[in-house]
Amino acid sequence: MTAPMTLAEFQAHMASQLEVEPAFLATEADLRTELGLDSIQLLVLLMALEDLGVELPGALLPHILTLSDAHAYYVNHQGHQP
Amino acid sequence: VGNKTQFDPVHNAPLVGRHVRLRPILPSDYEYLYELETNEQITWRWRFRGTTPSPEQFAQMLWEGVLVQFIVEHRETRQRIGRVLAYEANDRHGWCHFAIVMDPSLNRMGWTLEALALFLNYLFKTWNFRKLYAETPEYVYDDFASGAGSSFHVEGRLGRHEWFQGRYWDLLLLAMYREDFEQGLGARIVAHAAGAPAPQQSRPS
Repeated sequence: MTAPMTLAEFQAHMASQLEVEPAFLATEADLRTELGLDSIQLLVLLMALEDLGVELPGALLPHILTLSDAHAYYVNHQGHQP
Repeated sequence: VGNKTQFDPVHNAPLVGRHVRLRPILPSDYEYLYELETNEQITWRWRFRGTTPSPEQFAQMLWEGVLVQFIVEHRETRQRIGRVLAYEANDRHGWCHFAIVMDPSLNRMGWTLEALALFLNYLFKTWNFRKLYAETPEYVYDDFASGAGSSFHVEGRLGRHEWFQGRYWDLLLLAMYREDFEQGLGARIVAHAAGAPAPQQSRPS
């Protein structure tokens, strides 16, 4: 299994998916209330996460508040089947 | 000739995605739909705008002007979570209206957009529509505004059209073009939902 991306790599990857600069996607900022991501942008992040082999159950999605949260979930579940 | 086993969202119209599936509405769904569409978090922005039609009126209105509509279910649990519909189709000019209503507890879980992408793909594959219209009150627009200019275009605005929570709000008419859908985020969502590689995009989505 390949080594998981570092937080910085993860940030750059997700930023490219959203077509924004990595700096915009501050890792500790609340994705919804601070960065103002809307439903379309959150779905793009979710699809990117799933493309990395990480299935995020819908019930857990509201608990992913920041990019750091998403990265931690990715690191712990990369390659795992739900 | 190409690989015919590869999913091609331009030539396929799956109704089952990664999280949701669409199926025809049955009479046994009417009670669920009545409860959904008169839900206190939905009724003020859905077509009843806070009123409660009789169950008989509701059943009749459910099919008025409708071209096609589906129940949205959670793929694994088969729990009903919403409804999508297309209505007022105009074959001569190649357009149709569409709408989606989902369980409000599922906001921002991605399932609404997956259901919508599957449905719009179905419409574009089954009929020769060139554009699809949706109406939305201004007060819910921010929840998907990032798609403006790429996934959809705001082509109409009725100023101060609707009264809600102490003030008047604009009503927006959104248009989704076939080429935007097939070359942009719409087709990408469908391909992802079907577990296929994302289609090549000819321009940024």
